[in-house]
Amino acid sequence: MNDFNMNKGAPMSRVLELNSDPNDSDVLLEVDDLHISFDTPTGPLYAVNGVSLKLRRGEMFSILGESGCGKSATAKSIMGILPMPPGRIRRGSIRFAGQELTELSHRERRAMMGADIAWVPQDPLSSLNPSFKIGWQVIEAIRTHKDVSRSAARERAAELLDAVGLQNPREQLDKYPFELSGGMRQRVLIAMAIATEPQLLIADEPTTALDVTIQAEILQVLKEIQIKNNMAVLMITHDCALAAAVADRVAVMYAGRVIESGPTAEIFHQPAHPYTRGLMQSTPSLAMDEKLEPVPGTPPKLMDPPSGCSFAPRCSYCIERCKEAVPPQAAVSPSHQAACIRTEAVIAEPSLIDRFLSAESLPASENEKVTGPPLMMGRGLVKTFDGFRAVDGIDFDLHEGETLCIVGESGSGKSTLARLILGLESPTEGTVEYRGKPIITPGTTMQRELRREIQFVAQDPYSSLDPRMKVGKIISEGWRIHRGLVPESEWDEEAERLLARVGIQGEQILDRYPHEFSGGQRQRIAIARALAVRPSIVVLDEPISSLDVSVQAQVIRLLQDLQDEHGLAYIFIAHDLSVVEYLAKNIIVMYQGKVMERGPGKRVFNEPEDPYTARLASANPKWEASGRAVIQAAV
Amino acid sequence: MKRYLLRRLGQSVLVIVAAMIAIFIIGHVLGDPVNAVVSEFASIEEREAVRDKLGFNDPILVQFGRFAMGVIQLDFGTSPVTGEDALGMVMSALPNTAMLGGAILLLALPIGFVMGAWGAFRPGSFVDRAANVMSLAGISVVEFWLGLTLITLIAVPIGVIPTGGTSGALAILLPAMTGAFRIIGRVAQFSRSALLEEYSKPYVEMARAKGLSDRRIFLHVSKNAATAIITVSTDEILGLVNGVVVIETVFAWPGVGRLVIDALGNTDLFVLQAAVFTFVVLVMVITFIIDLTYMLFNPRVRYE
Repeated sequence: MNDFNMNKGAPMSRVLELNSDPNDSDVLLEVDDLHISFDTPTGPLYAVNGVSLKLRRGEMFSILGESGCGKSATAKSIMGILPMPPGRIRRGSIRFAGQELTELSHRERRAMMGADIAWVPQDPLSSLNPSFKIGWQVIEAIRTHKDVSRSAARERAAELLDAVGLQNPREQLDKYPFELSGGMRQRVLIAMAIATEPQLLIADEPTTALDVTIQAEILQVLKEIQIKNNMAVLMITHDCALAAAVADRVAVMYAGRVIESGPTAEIFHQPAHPYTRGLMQSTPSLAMDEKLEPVPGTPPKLMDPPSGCSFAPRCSYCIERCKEAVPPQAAVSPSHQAACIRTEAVIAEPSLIDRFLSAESLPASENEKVTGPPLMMGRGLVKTFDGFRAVDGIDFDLHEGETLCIVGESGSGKSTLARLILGLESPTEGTVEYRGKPIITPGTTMQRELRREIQFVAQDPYSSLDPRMKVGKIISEGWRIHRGLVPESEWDEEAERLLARVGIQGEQILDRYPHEFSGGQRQRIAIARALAVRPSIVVLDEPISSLDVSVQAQVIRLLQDLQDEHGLAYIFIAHDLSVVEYLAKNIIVMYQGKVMERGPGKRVFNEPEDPYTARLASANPKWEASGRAVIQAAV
Repeated sequence: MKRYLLRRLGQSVLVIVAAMIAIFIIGHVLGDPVNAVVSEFASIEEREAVRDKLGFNDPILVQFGRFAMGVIQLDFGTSPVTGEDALGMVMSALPNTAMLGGAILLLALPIGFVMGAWGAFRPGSFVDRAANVMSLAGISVVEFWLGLTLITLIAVPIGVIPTGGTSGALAILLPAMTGAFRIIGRVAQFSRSALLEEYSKPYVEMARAKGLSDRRIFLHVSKNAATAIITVSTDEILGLVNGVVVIETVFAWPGVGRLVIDALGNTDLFVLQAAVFTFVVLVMVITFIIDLTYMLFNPRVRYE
């Protein structure tokens, strides 16, 4: 196991001293009062509204925020890849190593890109050109900025691939991107970024698209290189715990502004802005034995930003004065600022970290004694595709009102298992019984009446709702098929009641189309659709992984409340342990189609018995008393 | 790779056999083949003499055997009109058709691609709109009308450009323009959308972040857009096999297309069969070459 935590051993006094002196010669990047807008057909969208940042040489700095907060636009404008038009830098300066970047010519700027400032993208799967070999692309990155021969560049490329931990680097050079896994491709992209030993590396959510164990490895590679090359890293992320694990300092962004910034430990141990606190509270893995406290509402529309504090409409600390003017940056400590006039009230709250840690140290509750036969029972389920055993002998029991989590990384067979349970595929071997009767056996499909009992909420609410169907029809469609459930004269009324229950209300709500709703709202509609036919089991396939952190918590909370009300049983598919630990009494960890470990969520998470589960658990960020977090990568 | 090529070759043989059967059925079974060999004014005695001489009285399977053996030996019979070897006539016309087809593609593909790229960078510009008009007009306008219009509008007023035949280097100009018109529009349209789609992909952002020049990025993008462009070009190239029949006729271009029209008029069955068979083989060779080009541009195809 390889433990890493960026700040260990860094003397706090030095951090404070650096922070207090803005003209420090150590400052590598200085963003001042940056304003960016995007032209849209309906007018400008104000994405970044006065961001100021300072990065020192060799430090790891993280911008933390949800989608649409302006973090990516900020990063891209520093990198020089902000699409202009429609993007526009309206005001502000970006100084890098003493040079004003916004005043450089296109050519001068390009000479720096990939040489002094390098980029690691979010999606490694599509960020390498699929038609050129790995070696060709790395060599291109070298030769664009260095006048070296092809063979020397190839030599260097092999060294670089070796440095980012790819096995047999010379062989990899002759491969095409599609022959490499996502994690390997991200390593290639990092190799490309560090080819010219840049002073600043900007990583835009570099691990979001990767499995959690791969994430741990990639973060470790980044950190090693950062220290070895004394390179500054600007890490964009939406994940509090990830920022807490890697960054020296953090800036939290909301609605195009930095709302809090300072040393990592300080920020997370005692956040001074209500939004930062809300984000932390929304992280489900932590508040184990309590219900989540999600931030209500959604981020504001940036077409027409509110006049006062943009977080005010969602803020529980909000007072009248908050709505009058944008709050200035107030110093919480010499190195820690928050744009809030209520910081004292926020700081006075008990530290969340302490609460998380005390929740974690609670004894692992044993599996609740369930009485009676299981509601659903799977035995010896196998599904093969062309001889490949995607699901390889799975047993499970699901009791009434219980949540069963199936955890596995990509390729583990968890989604195939879900499709078997839903009757969308028939198993090669094995059976599923429901209330004691076999309903799924090899070669058969489920009867229509039973399909009503087992409903489904898909991962991506953007593609799981028919874009040309009105919301009312989406909800009532099930009643059209399962006659007698709701009399036709009451469809509208019942649909409205269901939507209101999941938090979707408004004028003529039934006549709206899915595109009029945000991602979180769409997922609520999908949940209402599943509930409409009164199922006893709902299969949830990563229902929150495409949603923003603060919205994730709202949806989880809704699912829990609905479970309590209706005694629903959930089968919850997840790709890491963070949500699961919180949600489920019972979990199954899958790897390559097989069950690696099963048991009560907390026990599996805290005392894993299987090596793979242990890897999965340790790759999940864990908070420490200091306010930082630890991610462990397998050696 | 080797397996792919072998499979591909096997498929080609099957297609040739199928084409051979189809050509035989159309020529010998549907209707009286004698009608396709003698003139409509021939007497009954003349017709029966021809029928006997060419073996059209034999059982149908025997006739097919004879035809198939002929095809295998590349012998389609002797043209009763000219007295020459039928395939020989087709072969001597083929270079002219190849030249015309080549000229059309040489003109259309680069211009289409450049116009498409232009449209991708400057949406709504004159070139962009021109490509749209050409594509739409190309589909709606029949080629013989376009050919005649070009003759009236260009050849007649200018005078130096021949309106037909192969005399002089300029003679190919109008037939090539006629054939190229629609292809330019279609290739431009598809290149434009393929390029725009590729430009919106994350690897382009990554390429920019590497500090690559716009020209270099265009190289990245066009290699990926190539597959889509080749696909539409294939469509057009194969459509050209039909198109040349019309164009060659309008411009009195002595190619295989015109030979086909003449053979139809002269009831010259054997020349017709040889020409159709040649077209089948030609289409197969073209698609085979195009499949190889796909491999050049798309590594995934190569590995499957």
